[in-house]
Amino acid sequence: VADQSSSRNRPATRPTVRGSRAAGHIDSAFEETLRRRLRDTLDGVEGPDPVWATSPARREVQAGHGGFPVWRSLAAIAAGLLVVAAGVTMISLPKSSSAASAAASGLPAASQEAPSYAPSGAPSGGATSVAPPAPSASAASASPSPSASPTATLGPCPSLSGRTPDPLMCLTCRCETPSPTAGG
Amino acid sequence: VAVAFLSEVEDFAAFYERSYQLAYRTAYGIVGDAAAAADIAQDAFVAAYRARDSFRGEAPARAWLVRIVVNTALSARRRASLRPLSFDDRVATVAAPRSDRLELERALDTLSDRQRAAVVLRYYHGFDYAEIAHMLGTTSGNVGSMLSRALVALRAELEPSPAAGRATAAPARRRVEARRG
Repeated sequence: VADQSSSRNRPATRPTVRGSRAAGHIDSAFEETLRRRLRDTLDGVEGPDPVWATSPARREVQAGHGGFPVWRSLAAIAAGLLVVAAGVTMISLPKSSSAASAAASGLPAASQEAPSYAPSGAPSGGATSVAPPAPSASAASASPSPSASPTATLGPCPSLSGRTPDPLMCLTCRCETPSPTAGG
Repeated sequence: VAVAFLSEVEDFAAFYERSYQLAYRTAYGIVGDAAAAADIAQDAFVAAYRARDSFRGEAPARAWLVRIVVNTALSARRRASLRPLSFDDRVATVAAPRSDRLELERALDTLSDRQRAAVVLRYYHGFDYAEIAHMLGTTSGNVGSMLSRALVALRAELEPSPAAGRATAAPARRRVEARRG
């Protein structure tokens, strides 16, 4: 009995749904007053001059933070990668074609080759071949002699003898043995 | 694509200038500070610009923007960097406010952030419970509960009676003190 009387006298700080509905009718006047005062208050405040051209939001958007969604950024990155890949292909294509043409014509290519292609005893990853070696070519390149003329040959490099060329590195093998008389 | 992008920006500029005060007043009603409300309004427009592709016109643009402003304001209040100014600080920064406005702001200070947002959405914008629940990410019943508690607290502050004032204003003031601390 004591608990019931105390709970009955306790003010409703947390009204139930039924209590709030009942209080809704009672407080409708207060709600209307609150609505009016809130509108008077908030309609009376004025923010800064709302000009988009001078707004901080426009500056942030122009800085790129808000201008591009994620998919646009990814598309831009993909386009950049494509451009880089195309550029690399265009740069590497003339070298391989000139080497192949030189090998096909049998002309000395020592003066046209970059120094990095010259074998110095160390295996060169960029000079490997995936072309099936012809028996004559492999025999010629497997036993290089100091007096051999410096020509670009197709087939496994002498420095790679006994090892399998990496087929992913290049499509043609340009190996040359510098002649002692090649420089003059 | 460039022409479409430019026209989109031009449309957004008109949208910004048309609805800036709405966003600012909504933010002010929730945070109660002019500088913070201006920052929140700018952040909300940046967020709206980023999300402009997702706006398909199913809801009014006003409700779409108000929802972004409310979420931005609540997120800003959650961050530690935006600490709410005390009432005395705000009195010093607001130029000659009217006494009833100060009284209302003092009463709103006693509410939690979500209660305050619900009050602004309900009694300033006039949204119904379902719309408020959608904006706040809760249920209509929870919105009714929040508003009922908020009304009790506001009534205790604005129309203090001896019994109700002792019962409701004390816990509300404790919340304000805890928020300031």
